[in-house]
Amino acid sequence: MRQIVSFGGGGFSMESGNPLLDEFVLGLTARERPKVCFLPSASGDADHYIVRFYRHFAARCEASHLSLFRRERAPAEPREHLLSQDLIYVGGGSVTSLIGVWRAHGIDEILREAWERGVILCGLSAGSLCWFREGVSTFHGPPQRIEGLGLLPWSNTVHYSSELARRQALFGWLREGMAPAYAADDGAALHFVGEELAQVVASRSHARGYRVELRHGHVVTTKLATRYLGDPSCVPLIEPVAALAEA
Amino acid sequence: MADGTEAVRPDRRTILALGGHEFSRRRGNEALRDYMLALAGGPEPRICLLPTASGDPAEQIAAFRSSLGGLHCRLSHLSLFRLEHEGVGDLARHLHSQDLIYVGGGSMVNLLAIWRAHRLDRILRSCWQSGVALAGQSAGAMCWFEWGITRSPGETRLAPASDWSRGCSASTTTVTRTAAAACSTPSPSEPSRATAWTTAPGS
Repeated sequence: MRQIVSFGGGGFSMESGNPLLDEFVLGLTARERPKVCFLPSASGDADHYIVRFYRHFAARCEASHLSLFRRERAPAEPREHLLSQDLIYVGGGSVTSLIGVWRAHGIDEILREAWERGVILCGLSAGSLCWFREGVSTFHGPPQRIEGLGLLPWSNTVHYSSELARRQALFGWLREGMAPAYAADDGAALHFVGEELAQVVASRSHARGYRVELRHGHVVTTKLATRYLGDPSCVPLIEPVAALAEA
Repeated sequence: MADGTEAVRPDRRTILALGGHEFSRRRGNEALRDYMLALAGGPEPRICLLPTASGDPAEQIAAFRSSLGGLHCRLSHLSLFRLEHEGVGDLARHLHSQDLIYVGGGSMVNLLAIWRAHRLDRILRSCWQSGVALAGQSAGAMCWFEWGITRSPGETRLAPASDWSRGCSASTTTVTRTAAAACSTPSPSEPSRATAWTTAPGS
């Protein structure tokens, strides 16, 4: 089964003390001690980021990371290593730098193969945008339209409610023919099975996922039913499908 | 100082390729640093560090600022990985306003891939043509050439570097006149690079 979990923002690096999204992706592996490989490429393999990953995952997972800046310290066969994982976790940073480095080392093709073979892919921020056909990045200030790996035939926007400029840029590009978008707030995660959205989960009670698309020339934002992971008794929350006015 | 500078930049396009030169490791011997400052020229040159090849590590940025900090330079650095609190704004405008751009060491393959993804390769070429001096060490030296001997892929190998030459032979001629068509750094301390050099096709 091909699975991707895209965090709008969250997990160990953004939500200290709130492990709900990380627990959710680990749970999807259905392994007692899953193999998890961290790809910190979008941050330039920042040491402090790698240390934090191990601090959170080493106790309960077979944790590893793949450095593309210090290949001499990385697994000798990145393809074999990545294909043997249960979960590949992509950190945040610059999605443009991320995609550039991956292509230079052939990691983009390996990740597609891993996905097709059932390795679960997840990530936050840049690590979310990268899986889609296109994404909206604000890394260098003004929003930019960035081409991702295209495993998912949609557009993606992260940190949705907290960044007005991203939303406005997205609306403009949708009118210019950008593919319909799935967006997520900080603390919300979009779980795709195959190319289709299966569910939205959240580590914060107010965080939501959204579908944003052009209908009859108007941008329509649909707030998606989002399951709060902090309440075990909470059944999937069914909200009225609200077509929100354009901002 | 100005005379010496003029002697090596007849058409103002300048590249200084350093075999190996980390600011933090050269205390007490600042000859290369001073030579570079002379190339930058002016009483208070604007110098921008590109630490891309190492993933913008704080240590490389700190060493650069520590070495040049007290020398009447206007320093900046440009991160392509981290959101900076004091961003440089428009990348092209910032780089064009420099007297010298210094590229740190690290992975040459990553450096070039990231630059291309951000279209920085074109901006740097345009800077060079308009008289901004380009300098760098190790990966930051090889990147200006057509080929380099790199360890970026995990093993030592010959890899294509700048593709400025394709479709623009005039610039290649100028670059190669100053040094060679390919670059390997630092050679004596890393025998595997010398081996890759001598076994490379067309070497």
